This record gives sequence, structure tokens and C-alpha cells, in this order.
Amino acid sequence: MSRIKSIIVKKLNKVFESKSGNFEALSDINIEINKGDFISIIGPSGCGKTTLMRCLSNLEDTTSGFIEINGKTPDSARKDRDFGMVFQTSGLLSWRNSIENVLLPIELAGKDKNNYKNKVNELLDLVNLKGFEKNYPEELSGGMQQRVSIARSLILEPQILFMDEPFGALDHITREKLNIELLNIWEKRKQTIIFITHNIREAIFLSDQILVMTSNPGKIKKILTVDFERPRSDEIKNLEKFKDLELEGETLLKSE
Amino acid sequence: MKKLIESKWFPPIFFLILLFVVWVGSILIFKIPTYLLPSPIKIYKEIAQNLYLFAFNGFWTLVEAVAGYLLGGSFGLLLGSLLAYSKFFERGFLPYVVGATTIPIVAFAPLVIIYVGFGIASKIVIAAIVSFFPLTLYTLKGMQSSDFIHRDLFYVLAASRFNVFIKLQLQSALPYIFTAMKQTSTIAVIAAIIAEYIQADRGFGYLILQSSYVMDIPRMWSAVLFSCVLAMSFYGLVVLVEKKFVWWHSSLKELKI
Repeated sequence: MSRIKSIIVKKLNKVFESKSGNFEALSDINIEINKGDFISIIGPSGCGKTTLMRCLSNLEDTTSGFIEINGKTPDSARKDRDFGMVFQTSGLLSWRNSIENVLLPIELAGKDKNNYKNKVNELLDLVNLKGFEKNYPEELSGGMQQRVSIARSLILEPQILFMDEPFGALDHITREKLNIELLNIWEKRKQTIIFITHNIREAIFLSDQILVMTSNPGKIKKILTVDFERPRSDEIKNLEKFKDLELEGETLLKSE
Repeated sequence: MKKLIESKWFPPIFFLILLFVVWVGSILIFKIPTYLLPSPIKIYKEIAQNLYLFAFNGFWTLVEAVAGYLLGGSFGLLLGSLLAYSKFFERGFLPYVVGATTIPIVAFAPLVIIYVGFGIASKIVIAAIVSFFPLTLYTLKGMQSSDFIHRDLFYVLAASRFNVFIKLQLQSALPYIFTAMKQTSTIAVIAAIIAEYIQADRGFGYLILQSSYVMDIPRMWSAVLFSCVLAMSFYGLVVLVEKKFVWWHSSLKELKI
């Protein structure tokens, strides 16, 4: 196992201090994630999934421990724009249309947006939004908005993509469609993806590895390895092995 | 009938007509003399016969109000931005800005006239003062009101302080800024008139004061109505500009109940 590591976390602890007492959100987290892997994080509400991702993406300071992103501290990885992020809600700017929203990272990186005209259209095409380039967020459905935000996270071609329950608010069918789109995108570009979800089937379908977390304090209970061949199709959901994994995941989540 | 009630133009016109009916009706029924309350017809005649007089004075009040509004508003926008940009300035200035808003302009205006002089410049400064403080406070508040998710987004994208300011804070502040601009559009007109009460040789404040000395009630009412129309048109203009810039904000969408 001498593959290049995208993310290394050692003995990470995160304690939130407040007047009502301290809350141990993350305790002794250790992870190593290979470059180009698709990793899901799954666990009950409040188990620290989002906090872990916020620590990795430099949105939150750690209490103790060590994090390395692309061989750098989270802060310098962020400043070098090594990673992109998709949030639980799209976070589109309502005064910008789809194209302008996707171009935001380009503007903030100080690059010339005129050089990215084709790329924006390619990306919007990739997330199936052809014909909605000039629409403003309020004119798009929730699923479409989230797809714009995915396009936005890809425009700078980050080597790592953090996705915090990006499809959490969507219905089952839209969600499965977007999962397949996401796999297509990932297969073309091979970023490292860290994907938070509540849904064990979604996690199995997408991932190489699944980090199962447990709450209070937030810990990694088990790492499940998923080795279905890629590219994957919906049919793998009917395989015995898929069902075994699903059962194992559910048992882990229930035995809280 | 239902269509009429739900239409956009009918309700305001309906109540306007109602107002006129009550107005004229009470003058006829209670036999109110003109020197107490003139009828709308009297006021119309007064305006029609003295159109130049009202236009001339209205023009100067408008000039003072608009110039003061733009001047004070611009400085307010700048100071508000500065306070939002720097914690040091916010801590240093904000208590005094808040304190300054409690100064009654009526009490302060005579001083301004003494310092700045008897021309229209002092009226502009007075209108500017009342426009300045709301713009400062609302700009600051607006710039501090950007959504958390957008702040996270800009942080993850390693946006520079300047870009956060221009592309996020200023945009998020626009609804607040326009709230202040709508508020001060009418206040600036009032401030100009108050300033003219204190000392002036033109403007609605001057006209109303002069007419009051000779108990010319129809002329006073006409000037009052004209001032309202002036302030409302100014307000309406700002609303139009607002629609152009912040159409995307929820405050401009109808509430569904």
C-alpha cells in the first residue's frame, strides 16, 4: 500500500466549549485516505460527521491532533485551493444566475473568467443543466440548485472534493439520478471525494470505503471496504454482497 | 366586483375617493368655514392660479432635499462600509454614531444655519445630516448580515478580504441599504422644510410659514399637499431603483399565507 495519501488524520480531537458545558464532538479520529478514492462518512445525526468535514476543510479549528491535506495543513491547502466543497444546501448567491454562480470560484481566485466560458458550459452540461444557464436560483428546483453548486465546486478542478450530504434534501429518485451523475463525473476526473450521507445504500453504491461513525463522543466505529467493480450500475444493488454490506452497515448504526 | 377588489389600482383609488367624500361632506354638513378647512376645490383653484409659485418653491425644496440626500447618503454608505470593514473603527465610532442619531434635528438646525450660512447650502447640510445616520447604521447592519453558508463558501474558496467585501457583504447589504434609502428619501424632504422654517427665502417651508402669518389656509394646505406629493414621488423613485438592484431578495416577494 504505497499509494499517495490525499488526507491523513491522526488523533484528532474536537471539543466545543460553551456556557452549558463542554461537548466532545470528535474523539481520537484516525484516517488515511488514498488519492482518487471515493470515501463516504455515515453515522447518526449529531455524530460529528459535519464537524469532521469542517475540520478537514479548515472551517473549524481542531482541539488537538494532526491533519494533513495533500501534504499540507488544512489552512494552506485551502489557500492553495486544493479542495472544493458542496454544502448541505446549495448556498448559491441569489443575485447571480447559474453561469455567474459557477464562475464565482474563478473570480475569487483572481483568474480571468473569459477563459472559462467553455468550461462553465461543459460543467453545466455535465450536471444536466443545459438550457438553465441564465436562470437565477429562485427559478431552479432544489435538485437543480444543488447541481449548480456541484458544477461550482468542480470549476477549479480541485484534487479533493468535500460533499456534506449534498443530496440530503432531495427525493429518492432525484437522489439516485444525481448519484449516478456524480459517479460519472468522478470517473472522468478521479478526484478524491469525501461524501457525508445518512443513507447506507447510497454510501455503498458510491464508495470505495465507508467510515461508520458513532456519536457522543464522535468516533469512527468501523471502516467498511466496498470493492464492486467500476464503473458501477444500478444492478449491483441486487447482488448478495450489496445486501450483506447494507445489513452490516445498518447493524453498526443501530447498535448505538 | 371580486376582480375589482383584488385589483392593484382599485383599493388606493377607492379610499382616495372616500377621503374626498368625507372631506367635502363634512364641510357641507357641518358648515366648516374656509379659513378652518378649505374644500378640495378651493385648494385646486389655489394651486391652478399660483402654479408658478408652487413650482418655484417646490423646486428649491426638492433641490435641497435631493442634494442633501445624496450627499449624506453617500457619506453614510462610506462610513457604514468602513465600520463593517474594520472592527477597530466599529468599536471606536459606533457609540458616537448611535448617540448622534438622538440629536433632534430641529434643535440642531439653527446651529447649522449659523455655521453654514443663509443660502441653500445650510438646508442641504441639514437634509444630509438626517440622511447620513440611517445609511451608516443600515449599511453596517446589512454588511454584517450575510448568510453563514455564504461566509463558509467564501472562506473555503480562499476569497480575499476585498472580494468578501465587494462580492458578498455589499450585495447582502443592499436590501438594508435600500430600506434606509427609502426611509431617508421622505425624511430628507421633511428636514429641508424644517430648515426652511428656521430661515429661508424660498421653498415650501418658507411658503407655509409666510402663508401662516396671513392665515392663508388654502395656500398652506396646498403647500402641505405638494410637499407630500414631492416626498412620495421621491420615495417612489427610490423604490423603482430598489426593484432594479435587489429584485432577488425575499423582502420584495409577496408573502403567502
